[in-house]
Amino acid sequence: MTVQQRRKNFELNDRTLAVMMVTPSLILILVFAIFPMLQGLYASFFQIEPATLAMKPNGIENYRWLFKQPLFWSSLLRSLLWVSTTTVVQLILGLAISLLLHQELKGRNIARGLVLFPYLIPAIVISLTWRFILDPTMGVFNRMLMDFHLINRPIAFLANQKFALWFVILAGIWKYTPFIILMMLARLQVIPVELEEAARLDGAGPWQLFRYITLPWLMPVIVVTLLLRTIWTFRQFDIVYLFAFGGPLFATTTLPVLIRYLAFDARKIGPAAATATIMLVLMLVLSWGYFGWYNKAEKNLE
Amino acid sequence: MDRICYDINMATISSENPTRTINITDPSHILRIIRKIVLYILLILAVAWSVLPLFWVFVSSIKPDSETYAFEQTILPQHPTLQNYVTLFKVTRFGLWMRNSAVLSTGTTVVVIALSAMAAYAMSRFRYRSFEWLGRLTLLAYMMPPIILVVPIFFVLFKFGLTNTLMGLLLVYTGIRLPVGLWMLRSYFQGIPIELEEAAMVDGATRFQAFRKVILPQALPGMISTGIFVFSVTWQEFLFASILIFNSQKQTLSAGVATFLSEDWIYSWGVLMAAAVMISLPLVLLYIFLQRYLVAGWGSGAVKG
Repeated sequence: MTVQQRRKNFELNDRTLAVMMVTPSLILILVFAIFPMLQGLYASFFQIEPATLAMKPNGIENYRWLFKQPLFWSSLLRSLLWVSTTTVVQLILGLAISLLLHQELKGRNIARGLVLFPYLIPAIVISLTWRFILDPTMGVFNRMLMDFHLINRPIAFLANQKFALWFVILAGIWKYTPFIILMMLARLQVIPVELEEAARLDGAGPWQLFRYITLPWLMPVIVVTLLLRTIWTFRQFDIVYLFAFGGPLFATTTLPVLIRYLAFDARKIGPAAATATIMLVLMLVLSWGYFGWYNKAEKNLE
Repeated sequence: MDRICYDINMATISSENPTRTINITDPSHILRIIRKIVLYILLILAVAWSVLPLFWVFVSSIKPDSETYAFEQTILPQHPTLQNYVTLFKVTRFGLWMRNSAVLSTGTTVVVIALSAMAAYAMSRFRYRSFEWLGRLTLLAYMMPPIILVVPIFFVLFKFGLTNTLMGLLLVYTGIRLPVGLWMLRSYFQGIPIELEEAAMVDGATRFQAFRKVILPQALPGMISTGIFVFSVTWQEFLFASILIFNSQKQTLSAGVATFLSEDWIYSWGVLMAAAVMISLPLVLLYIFLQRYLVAGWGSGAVKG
């Protein structure tokens, strides 16, 4: 056997091994992500009988029906409100807290550990927590408002169409601000000291230091974080749903909650698939935009 | 706390009459102290915002009903009790759900880590064109919202008679967590120098032996952090469990406790708060004891994801 032959044999073995190592994962990914996605896309052009699952092609009828529903448009609007408010406030709050935790302060390490806690808390627990705090009879929030004479009688916040979504937003901010803090602190810890010192020597004040050194340094991470948070908040189902099950009167129904409602409560599987497809397209557009922005931020840094 | 009070006293004294304290004559010094005070106040506010709701949940879980439902509430329990926990485990199916969730999360974690470690190794070591596509496919699968997948997956499982079984749920969990496991581990394996296994292979090890005996131990921290991540997301999973399981005995924690909320009001707030504590406890303990791995995992899963 020549060296070359042996080498060839060896590579062949490598190749077999590699394929064997990858195959189970590939099958699972195809079966549980790619196939359902395509299936959903495909199903959005069919009329589907909920009981028998018989499929009848009906072109873009599902989409046309959907676009005529005020509920679809209001859910889309609520999704946009939920995503934009939650991510923007999260980002500002997270940025502020991470800058604070970057200062030389006593107890900083304990504080760092503690502010990350909300990120651990499961959605069901967050829902229980806020339902309890906001409860009209025993809730501590209503009691506090009454003690300060801000209201005369308790308000059932989560049963109130005007307030419900805002409290879901508050909970979303509460749970995911730690994620921003984590990302920002990691980046702040590797900020080049020379940059800050040079700026200080040039007589830069704290605001200028932040504006011209810290912020551009953080910018690429800010963009990535914003991208991830936007996508994750947009697709978030459990926190929103568990808060008030989409109610009162659809007041907390965002697009993911709408999909569940259409598929399993209203038994309109075709339109549910159409909503899912629209969500998917919106998500792809979003990530596209962000990647362009990210590249720009990276370039600016240089 | 002492330190802050001290600072506040200094500041009030000095702002009233700067000449009275000797070391504070320079106005920039006063400014610096005021700045410190403000920073500490903000720090306390940030910590309070993060942990006070959880603190409230905990103290409410050890209060008897008479205190939770009292007109005048106290912050700390006057007569702390474990009655709510006893009710939770004796009267409700919570214990059963906890067992189901534990089995599912452990099973999912083990299978996902085993499969994705193999695949991640192959993808980081062999540069075939098709593997690049597998990488892209993984990322696409990772980004895919579960809510989009749940309806088609429901019907597939239904066809195979796997709805309402823990086995079916385990299969689904493995499938939907695999992309994130693969994605996190792949970047980890890429950071392990290839020379290590080359040395082992020169010494006569086969490639699989090199993988098992040399690379896996190196990758252990990455596998632990990925494992904790997979465990904790599976432990709290709600959507798939609530749709694929219709039988209360087979339910998981999140979906089971959610039925407390949609049913007529049966249990007291104290019991629900005990449930909240019990669901969070394993995750909090993991965080406290394995913080190093966990934070690293959050970072890598996020940045490179």
